[in-house]
Order: sequence, then C-alpha cells, then structure tokens
Amino acid sequence: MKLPGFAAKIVPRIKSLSPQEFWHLAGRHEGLLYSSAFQYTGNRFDAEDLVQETFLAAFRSRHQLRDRGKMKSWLFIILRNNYLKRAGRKPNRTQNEYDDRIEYDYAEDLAAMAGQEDALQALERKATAENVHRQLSALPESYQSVLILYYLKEFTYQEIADMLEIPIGTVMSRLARGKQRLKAAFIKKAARAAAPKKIIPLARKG
Amino acid sequence: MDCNGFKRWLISRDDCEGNLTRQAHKHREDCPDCNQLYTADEGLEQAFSNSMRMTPPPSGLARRARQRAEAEARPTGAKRPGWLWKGFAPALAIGLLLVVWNPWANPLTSLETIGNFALANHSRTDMTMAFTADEIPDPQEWFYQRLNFRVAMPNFSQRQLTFLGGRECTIGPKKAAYLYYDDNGKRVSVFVMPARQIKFPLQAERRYRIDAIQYSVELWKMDAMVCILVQELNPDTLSTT
Repeated sequence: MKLPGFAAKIVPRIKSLSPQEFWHLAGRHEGLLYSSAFQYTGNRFDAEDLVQETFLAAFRSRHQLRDRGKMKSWLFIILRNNYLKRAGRKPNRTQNEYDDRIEYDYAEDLAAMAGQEDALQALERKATAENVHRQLSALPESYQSVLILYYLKEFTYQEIADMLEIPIGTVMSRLARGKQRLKAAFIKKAARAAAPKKIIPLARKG
Repeated sequence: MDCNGFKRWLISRDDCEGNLTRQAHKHREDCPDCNQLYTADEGLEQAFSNSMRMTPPPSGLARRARQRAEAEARPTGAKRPGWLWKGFAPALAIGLLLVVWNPWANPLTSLETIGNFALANHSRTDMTMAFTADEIPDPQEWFYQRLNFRVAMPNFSQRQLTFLGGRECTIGPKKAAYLYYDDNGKRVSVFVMPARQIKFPLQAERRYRIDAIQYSVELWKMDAMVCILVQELNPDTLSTT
C-alpha cells in the first residue's frame, strides 16, 4: 500500500535497539569516530574523551535511530555536535565568499616552488600530521568537517552532504576551497623555510 | 586549455566537472611545466591524505564506553533514599497521585471534552502508528490483546477513506483504539472506545458534530462502541461558513 505524504510522520518506528544490538553495531565504527575526533581535537586524550561522550550520548538516544543502516553517519553527527559544543564553536553555514587572491597566490607560489628541489623537500617536511592539524583547526568549521570526512575516505559526497545538511554542490565547493586554503598555508610556510637566511655581517669595532 | 586555465583547474579541481578535468589532464601531458605543477600539488595532496587517514583507536575504546553506560544505568548507593524515606516516600507518592490524578473521576462527560481529547491526539506529532494495515491482518484481534475490548471497525466505504494503520491511545483517562485513515492525502483520525466509558447519554442513530477552527469532530455510537472522527475541515467549507 502506498502511504500518503503525511504518513511519513506516523509510520511505525522501528523497534528500538537493545543495548547488545547497539554496542554490536556502534562498536564497529570506533575507528572512524576516533580518527574524526583526532582530527578535530588534535590530540589522543581529547579524542578518546570525545568518542566516549559520543558513544554514551548515542546509547542514551538509541531509540531515535530510525534506520540502522545509518548508524555510521548518525554517530558522526553526534560526534561533531559534541565537538562543537566542547569547543564552543558554531557550525558555519554561510561561507560563500570566494577568495580569488588565495587561488592566484597558490598557483603562482606552487609554480615557483615546483622548479626548486629544496623548496619541494621543505614542503614535504612541513606537511606533517601535526602541522596539518594545526592548519586544519585554523579553518572555519564548515571547511574543517568536509575535509575530515573527505580524507577519511569512508563517505561518499552524498553522505557527507546528508550528514552536514548541505547540498552536494556545497560539499564540493567547500572541499575545493578548504584544500585551497590548506595548501596555500603550507606553501607559504615552506617558502619561508626554504628562503636563504640573509646574514648581515656586523661591522667590527677596531 | 592553456596554462592559466590549468592553474585555475588545479586549485579547484574538486569542484570541477569531468570534461574540464579531462582537458586539464590532456594539457599537462603536453606541458612539462604544468605537469611539474601537478606533481607538486599531488605530493601535497598525498601528504594531507597520509596525515588525515584513519588513526587506529586505543584498544577497548568502545568497551570502556559500554562499561560507563552500564555503570550509569545501575543505581548507586549514594542515590538511594535513606531509611526514613523508604517508608514514607511510597505513601507520599500515592497521596500526591490521588490528589493530582483522581482515578475515580471520569472527565468524559460532554461532547466538547471528548472532542478536545480527540483533537489533542490528532494534533500530536509524536503519535506514530504501532502497525500499518499491511502488517496486521486482523486489527480487531490486535486491539483486543492490548485493550481488552473488541474494536468494531467502522465502515467508511461511502466516504472513501483508506485504512492506514493503528495504535493504542487514551481519550482522557480511558483507553481507546486509534485508527489512521487517509482521505485524499489528508489524515483522518478515528478513535474507538466502549460506549460505557462516556458519561453522557448518546442516541443510537444520531451523529454528533462539533467544528473547531480548522477541524471537525464527529461522534456516533456503533453498537456498544463509540467512534470519534477528527478531520481537517475543507477550506471551501471554511470560507462559506
């Protein structure tokens, strides 16, 4: 029987997950949650706390999960909300500005660097996990979340869009702009590191 | 695509369509400078990918969360009431309950009161169906097991309402069967309960009706049962009355 539109709100809810079922299903995603939490917080202790909070919050509200197949996305949403609450940040939803200057600088700087072996090596040395996290956390949350989800390689663009409640086109543009900002920051750091140190000889007395 | 176009593609390649990407790759195959640029960018991309890949969690992370959840669920000694409360609290609770909710009083004494209760149920957004018409072949039996009375299913073939499903509910303090119907995409709620629960005389062949701002409530007797139907008023009817 085809249900009318209004019936979406009144169709029977699936039976709430039992504690055993919940832990069985949720436990599978501890790696994903921990990795995301690690990217958000930048250290293992806070990441562990954040994941534990996420599991507890999800367990308490497990009756709200209507589709068991969406456990992974649902857990991530809770984790992100917990992180935003902890960090006192609000999800940025309106990042429409497009900084063309960064785009130009990046391409030019990369072109300049691509010809220098030292500069490229400096770039690779700078791109450590710690530095990546530092630059990532400096980005607006709207870019941060998209980049984290993208690089975990666990979600499709559509799943990322659903989780962050944004259109798929916005996911793609935020990804492009987020990467652009991240890369531009690294290029600048590497360029500074590779620049020859100017030594100004001091005049000796006598 | 020229070198400038390639540079523009390079920085926004995640937001570019497939055709542009094909052109960019074609260009870099022919242009060593742009190919070098691409290689440098890929190196950075790879470094990000390595830095943000899955990090193995500490062992037993989910297990520890589970233990915390189980510990929270257990009552702790500190939270238990003292010996004085053990004797006094149940009596106090029962006393309060009797004051606040008088079980002997039946408020179903007027059409308006019943209509209000039915309308409140109809308006609630959290009252989901316990079963759909497809799932339960014998709704009467389903309700009998839960409500202890045989629910007579009203016949709406004249009104062309489609039965969707049902659930238990209450009309005031009394249990009732809640039947969901579809009327051309609009929800119609029908509540069925024993007529003896209604404390005012109902004539057997009469249909009672009250119109609220947006809804109409109809009530009629069907053998030993009472049916209460709530539906949205037709906008055309609203404008003419």
